[in-house]
Amino acid sequence: MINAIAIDDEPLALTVIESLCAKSNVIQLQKTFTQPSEALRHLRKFPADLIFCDIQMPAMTGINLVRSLQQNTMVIFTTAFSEYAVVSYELNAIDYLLKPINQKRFTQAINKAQEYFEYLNKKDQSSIFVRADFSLIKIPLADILYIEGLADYLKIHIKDRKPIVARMPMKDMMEKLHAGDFIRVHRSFILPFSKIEAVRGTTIYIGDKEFPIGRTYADEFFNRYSH
Amino acid sequence: MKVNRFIISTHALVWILLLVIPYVSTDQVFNALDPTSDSKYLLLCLVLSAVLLTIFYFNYLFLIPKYLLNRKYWLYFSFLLLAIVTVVLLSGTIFYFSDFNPATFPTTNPIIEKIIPVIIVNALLLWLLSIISSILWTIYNRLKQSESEKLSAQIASLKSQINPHFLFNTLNNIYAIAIDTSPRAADMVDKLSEMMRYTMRDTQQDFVLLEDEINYISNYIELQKLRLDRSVKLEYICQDDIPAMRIAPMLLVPFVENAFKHGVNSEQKSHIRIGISMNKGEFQLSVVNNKVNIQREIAESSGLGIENTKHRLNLIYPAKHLLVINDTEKEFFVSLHINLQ
Repeated sequence: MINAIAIDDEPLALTVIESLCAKSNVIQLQKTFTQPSEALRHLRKFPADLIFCDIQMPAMTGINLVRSLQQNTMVIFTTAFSEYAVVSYELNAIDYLLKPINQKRFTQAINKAQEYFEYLNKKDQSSIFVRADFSLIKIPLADILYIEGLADYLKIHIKDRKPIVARMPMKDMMEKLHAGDFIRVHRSFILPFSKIEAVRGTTIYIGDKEFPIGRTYADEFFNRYSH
Repeated sequence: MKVNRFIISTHALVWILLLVIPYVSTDQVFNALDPTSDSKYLLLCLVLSAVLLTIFYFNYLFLIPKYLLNRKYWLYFSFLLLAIVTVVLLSGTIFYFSDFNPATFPTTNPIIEKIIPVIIVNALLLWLLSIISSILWTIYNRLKQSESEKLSAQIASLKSQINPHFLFNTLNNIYAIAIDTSPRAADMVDKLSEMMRYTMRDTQQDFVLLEDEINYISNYIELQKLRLDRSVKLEYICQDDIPAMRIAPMLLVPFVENAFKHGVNSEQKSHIRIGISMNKGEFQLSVVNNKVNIQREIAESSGLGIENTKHRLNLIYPAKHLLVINDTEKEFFVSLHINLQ
């Protein structure tokens, strides 16, 4: 079960979330708040796993509220109009829901939260979560073909899916992948080690793709590959 | 009145052109006729220019806003006359006390005698021009200002009509009240909100997800169903898995709206059939309705939507779409294919 609280300055908006949570068997809605400051006080004493948070509140915007929270609290923003999508993406929100929130969209958001929750609690190590296209995207590690580094962002090529472009340095990506099967072979390439089909000279072959081996990465790669 | 650099430089440029060019062009003539009076002629021109400028700005900055724009015409014209007379007297005095006496001219050169009246007429015309131009300039500015004020008022009133935060928060509150007690009403509010959000936000973009456009149509049809009598037979078939392709917004909607506009009359049997499907990259829409009698005033206003859509199709999907409209006496049939790839 995921423990959640909801914050919205309009009491009726909270009844919608109460009603939707009551129908869900994943979310345990502990408490609802119309005053952001009260919610913050409560959270200091009783941290929640997930908060539903309105963005436009007169006392304190949802954005500022979330900024003052500890890092691993999951956030789902609720908003009447959608101009805050970009910001919620930067604040690592799980999702943002537009009011009125319907059952379908709510379930989608909750599922995302649940998957991320399991990932955070290390129950699920077979996937990673990447923020792209204004949302949190789950990528099974087994489906990653290769990762290509571009200037400020990187492109994750996935089996049977469109590549995902995410803003993140290659170094952080390597940490996220917690090494395991993945190896960096070049300034701009991370490859799944077990998928490598052949190596000729300083070129790696996976399917019909060819990847160069960078000088700084060559020793580590050949060391691992020859074993 | 705000004075910005652009306006100042425009004024300066116009004055330089207006005052310097006549001087430069006539200076040669004067010089040739009487070299000794050349510096005096420069002085004459300077005085004339100063008079011109004074009258223009006195009129433009003081007399016009204070009297003419307040419809005090008599006061305006008497003040203007007074100003002119003052200026003429003032310049006359300057001439008198300086050694630049027109009476000395004819003695030096008889040709100058003929030119003097021309110069005087010229000066008078320039005065007239400065007065008229200052009036016209003010009128033009007023017009421009009122035009832009009207426009911004219109925009403000439009904005106040549809403050999206208020609208969607209110719809959400209605939704909240209905969600547990009458889920059907909540569902309708949800559909209406989705439609409004789509028209207010998504249609601003050049292309939207096909799924969103189809969702709009589905919502529209669901809400239309509530309005329909049992005499209307409605069939709506839409493929389930819509691929993640993009389409220009509001291209399909007019045809669907049209079917409800022309195909529904509770006194007659109506039949509307709408089909949406995808075949690889090709999108297909078909709308068929039998025509019912509809009073002319209602019917007339609707042609625009379809004409407009045809125009947009030609612009956005040239040679990539096929639109067949079959308008018979009993039936209206539309078939639209678009290659979205």
